[in-house]
Amino acid sequence: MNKNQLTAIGVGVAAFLVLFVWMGPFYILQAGEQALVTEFGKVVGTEKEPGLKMKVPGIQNVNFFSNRIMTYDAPAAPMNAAKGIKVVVDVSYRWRIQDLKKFYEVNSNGDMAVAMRNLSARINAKVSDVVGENTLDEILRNSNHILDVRKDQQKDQSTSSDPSFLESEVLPINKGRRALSKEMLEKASAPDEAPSLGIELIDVLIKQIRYQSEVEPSVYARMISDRKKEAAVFRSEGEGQKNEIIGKKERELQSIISDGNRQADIIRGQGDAEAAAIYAQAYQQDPEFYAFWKAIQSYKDTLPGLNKTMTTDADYFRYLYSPRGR
Amino acid sequence: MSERNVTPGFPFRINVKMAILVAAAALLGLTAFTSVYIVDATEEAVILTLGKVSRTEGPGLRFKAPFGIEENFNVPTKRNIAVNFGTARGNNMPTLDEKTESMMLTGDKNIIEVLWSIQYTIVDAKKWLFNLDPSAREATIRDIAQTALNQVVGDSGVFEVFADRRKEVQAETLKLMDEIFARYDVGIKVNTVQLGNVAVPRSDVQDAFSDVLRAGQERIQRINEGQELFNKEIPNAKGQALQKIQEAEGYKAERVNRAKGEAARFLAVLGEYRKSPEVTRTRLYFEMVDSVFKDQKNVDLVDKKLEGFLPLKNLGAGVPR
Repeated sequence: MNKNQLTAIGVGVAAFLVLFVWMGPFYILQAGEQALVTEFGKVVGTEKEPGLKMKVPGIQNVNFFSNRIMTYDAPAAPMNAAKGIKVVVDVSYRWRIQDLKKFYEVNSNGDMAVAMRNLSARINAKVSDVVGENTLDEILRNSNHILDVRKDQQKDQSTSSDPSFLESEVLPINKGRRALSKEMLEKASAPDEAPSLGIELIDVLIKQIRYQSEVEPSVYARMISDRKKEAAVFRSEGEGQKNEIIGKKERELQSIISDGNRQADIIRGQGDAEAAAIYAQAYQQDPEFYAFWKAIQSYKDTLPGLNKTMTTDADYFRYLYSPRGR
Repeated sequence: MSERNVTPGFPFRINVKMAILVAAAALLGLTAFTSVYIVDATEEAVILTLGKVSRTEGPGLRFKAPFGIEENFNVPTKRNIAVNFGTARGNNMPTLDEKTESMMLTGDKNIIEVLWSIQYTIVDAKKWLFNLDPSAREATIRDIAQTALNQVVGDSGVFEVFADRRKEVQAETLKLMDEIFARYDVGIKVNTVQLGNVAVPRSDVQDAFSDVLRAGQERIQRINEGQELFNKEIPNAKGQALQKIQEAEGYKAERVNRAKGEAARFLAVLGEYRKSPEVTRTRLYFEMVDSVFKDQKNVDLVDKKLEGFLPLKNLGAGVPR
């Protein structure tokens, strides 16, 4: 054997070793995966820890499955909430394979489609149950936030910019959306008569709740009538508040004017009184002369405008017929 | 013509040396091909050694053990990833599903359509890779986002979502999403929840909503009208009242002054009168008659003692010329 032949053999052995390692007793289990080992179709073991693993080449077969969270979006299903309200509830759920051996055996050798069919059948029934036992308010809302807001608005009517207290009935709730979603999870994962699917259900989330399309027209009609009521309230409130302001204005006007008149009258009275006092104080000193004086003043003021016919009786004419007087 | 050997055969001789060289080159090439990888500037690579998480690498040209002994998973940890809802995801019109996901029911049972989007970042590449199945990644993010916003909208009044509490709705949805993602421990952080257009699905319902807004405007307008009247008339009335008071003050001053004047005049005359009463009295009397009759013509004078005298004066017909 020459050197070249030796090298060729060396390379050949190396290639065989690589091939052996590739095809043979080793396999790599990646993080996030789990493996199921079968012997001629029979499950002989499962593996969850990642790393380099051994198997019997040619006899054992390794099937890989996810060891991570998986998701399933169930088709949105029509259901009846309490009182026969027709709704569509769209749920999705997170799950993972917990018991791979069972998962593999129960679901047609780990067929995902079969597993999802089994799981969703089970969950849909529970979702239907929970929805049917609760009012739409309970499923839809998570708190009594809206009621609190309305209460505040009624308390504070002066700033009723949003008269949503008019809107369709909102019932107080006890449990709410998240609690019911938890209830769905608990019921669906409860170990009951149905055989385990080897699945751990992580959550059941209510993605969406809507009315069934056949009742939508009546919902829209209600929305319209709600809005019409609201608009009417706004309008009458506007008129009402305007009238209130006008009334307030009239009251103020009367109050201002009458108050002005009152003050003016008081002042005039004061003037009159003061004048009277001044007059009295002066005239008192000789009432008789005052009468004469006033008469003379008055005659001067009033007589010039009148047509006059005098009689000679007047004292004025005392000297008319005699220089010595009458 | 000489004979030529035309027998077909190997065009060249098998050279062992060359074969080994080719094999070695192929091996080297394969080794290089399976051991070199590139990490993008926005990425982080998680390395699995024989399936186990061994390390993470930053951006650049990187090396790993060849032949699948080590494997790299690049995760775009520095990217802000946007997800849209209710709008067309392709270039086409929105599909029925895309339209349906925008439908929401408010807490007061109004049907609304919400277009919205979220942005998230993968903050923990390992958790993202190994806690959430690759097939579940997009769906899970969409599901959680929808669950969270639907819950928050389901807890709000229709006007809160339209305008009043938009910001709060976004913030609450973000918080709720982060809460759920934290429960799964999948290494995602939601950065923004952005509500786009929020509308009512049907045009007749839209009209009813618009009419409410209009009515609200009209309400404010009415109130303003009233307030305007108020503001116009009240100061005017106040002015009028003040005017009346001023006039009264004027009246008072006039009255008092006149009284003072007249009193003073009277007292002055009285003073004189007291010095010589008879003369003054007579003088005053005649002065009065003077002033009354001086400029008057056609004053009739009648002597009642003349019997049978018929005065020429025709009463009621004015003064004859």
